[in-house]
Amino acid sequence: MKETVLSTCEKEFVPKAISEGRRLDSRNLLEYRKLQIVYGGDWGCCMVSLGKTKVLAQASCEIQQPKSTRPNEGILFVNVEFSPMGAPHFEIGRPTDAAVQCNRLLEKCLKESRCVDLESLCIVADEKVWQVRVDVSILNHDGALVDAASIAALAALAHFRRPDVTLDGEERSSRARFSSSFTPSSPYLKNVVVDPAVLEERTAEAQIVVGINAYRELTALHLGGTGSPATNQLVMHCASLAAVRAMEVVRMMKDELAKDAEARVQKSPVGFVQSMDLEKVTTLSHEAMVTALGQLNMNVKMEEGGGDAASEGSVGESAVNDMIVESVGENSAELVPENDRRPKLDAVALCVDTIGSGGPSTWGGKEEDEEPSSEEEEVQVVAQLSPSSKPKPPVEEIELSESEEEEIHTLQPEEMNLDKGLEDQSDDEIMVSKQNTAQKKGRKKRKKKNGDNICK
Amino acid sequence: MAGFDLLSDQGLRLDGRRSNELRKIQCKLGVFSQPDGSSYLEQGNTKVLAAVYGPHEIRGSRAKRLLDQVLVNCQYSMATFSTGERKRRPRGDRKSQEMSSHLRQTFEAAIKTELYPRSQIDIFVEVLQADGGNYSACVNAATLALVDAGIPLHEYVTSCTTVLAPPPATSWDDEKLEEGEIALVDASHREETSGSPTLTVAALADSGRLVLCQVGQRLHLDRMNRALERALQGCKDVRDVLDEAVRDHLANCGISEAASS
Repeated sequence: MKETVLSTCEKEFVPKAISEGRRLDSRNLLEYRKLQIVYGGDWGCCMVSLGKTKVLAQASCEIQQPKSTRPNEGILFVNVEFSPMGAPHFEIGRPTDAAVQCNRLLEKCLKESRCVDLESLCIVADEKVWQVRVDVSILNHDGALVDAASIAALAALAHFRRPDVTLDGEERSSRARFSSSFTPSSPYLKNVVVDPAVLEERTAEAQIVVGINAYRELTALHLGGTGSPATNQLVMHCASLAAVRAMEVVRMMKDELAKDAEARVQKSPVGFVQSMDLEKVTTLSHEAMVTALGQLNMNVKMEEGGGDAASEGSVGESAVNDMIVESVGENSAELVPENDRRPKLDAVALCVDTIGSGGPSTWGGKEEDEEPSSEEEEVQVVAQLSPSSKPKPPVEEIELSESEEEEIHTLQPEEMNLDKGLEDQSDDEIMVSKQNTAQKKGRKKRKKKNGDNICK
Repeated sequence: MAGFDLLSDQGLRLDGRRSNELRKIQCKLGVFSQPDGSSYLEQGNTKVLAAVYGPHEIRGSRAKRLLDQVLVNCQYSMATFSTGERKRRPRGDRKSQEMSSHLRQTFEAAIKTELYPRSQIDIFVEVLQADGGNYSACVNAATLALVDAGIPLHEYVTSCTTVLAPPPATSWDDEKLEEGEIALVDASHREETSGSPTLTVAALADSGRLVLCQVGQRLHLDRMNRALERALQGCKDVRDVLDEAVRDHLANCGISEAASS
């Protein structure tokens, strides 16, 4: 399959946004995505996720004849597999340019940095040596593949244990020796953006990948691109950013390794399954909201059209209120009327990683708004707060109550009636509010022109 | 590291150059009649041929055409007799593919690609003898071939490989880096494979902007700035040599045409 063509909007929007210091997932220009390293059950198996980019690496070894030019060294073979699972435009047989480049970079990084002591892999010089093979598969492509692949390969190698053979065939497990470690980090040129997501990569003018180890030695550097070229100050700047990042990553890797080692010693279950919590409510939640609330100056004048249908409880006001968007945690936002505003809130701090200290929980009787989507004010107000609403008894299943088939109720029988009442009410509210939002959209659009600088 | 010193105590390298001297560059434009542009370049013992076809219609799959710029197609090939041991695969192995894509990136930055949308420019490079600085020699040769083909470039693209060598046992008062390592410009094969860190740089020579930058072995971050500067200076020197060659060629072309008319 061919890679989907980038629309002109995207091609223009992303660089423009970046030049203003904003990114699509509201990170800072120099902020990295969340890195997660999980070790699998086998030795040498590890999965790395960098944001949504997921990569799996497996290290293995076998005995082979050494190369004739280096008879007393083992062989390290790195293979990065760009399977169609990662992205539709990857093909197995025919590696794309990017795939070849990723392969070569990783090979260079691992081999030339001499992070694996190859001479320790020798068994009988000129006859038998260990060939350590690291296979990296790209599970999901969301940018920064070289980064993720390198971290995975390194983590797999660090975790791997090779059998120890003596000449009469005894076997023990021991680790291949490691002398240093590295990580590429790929900033993006001009306004240097680190750890690009896939859209940022495609609209980038150039890309620089810096492989650096914990001792600040560059093991691989590749600067290439089609746009306006760089200066050496830029290269130095990127390299120093990479140095900082390398130390962080190495530290994280060592922590994970230690944790895994401990778990194995204590015979507790290890593996990928352990890293996935299937039982929690928050299993499928995203870890960060993908909009930058800080850019929304929402002084939205909402009109109370839904007052009639939403019977008891929430919507008592008929006055026009000024609403403010607040973030109350990782996954939700709240539209609160001005006069009900809670103390706290630095206006600037309305961004993803600040959790509102908020006020007391108002789970009872209020349903939280859905995430506002990108720069459009499509906030569907499902319920509106008003100070005069009676506080409902805290019912934990408020969120689930929209579906009447939900079985996860831990309610007491007395509360069932109350719950049912709320269910009806919420359904009605949803219906009405949907109609209203449709109407409101029209109105909102006109109001938007009056200087709400939401999308610049 | 091998037992020899890359730099003797008089400051001379293995082939008698000083640390900032380039190898002897000899080049000729217009060596073939079929391609639109061609060149032959010798940089010391590294000998490279380059041929450019284009701009022409997209060959092969029309799906590859780009609507707003020209498609640059590079192929890097090493002759089987080019290295000490006979090469089994002249092209198509990973290293050659990587080189091809690096060349492509370099020239996409150098050529004025917006002038020929939906077209294709082919650059074929053949290494006849590899003695270090293969990529650099290829870039330089291809630049000449592009000039010969008359394809508009933003600037000359030149490339240079630098090796950071440890200082010799006794010192002399030539230019020295503070930490004591010397950057050897335009490295030969023995210097490249000595285990010292190498830095390959392709740059638009006049403005000094980097188009491609590659590091081999372990180059310490603190040393990198100086190595980069030296490499850039090397690129500028190469550019001067190439420029002179181009002007000579044009002057001679003119003379021979005038003589034959």
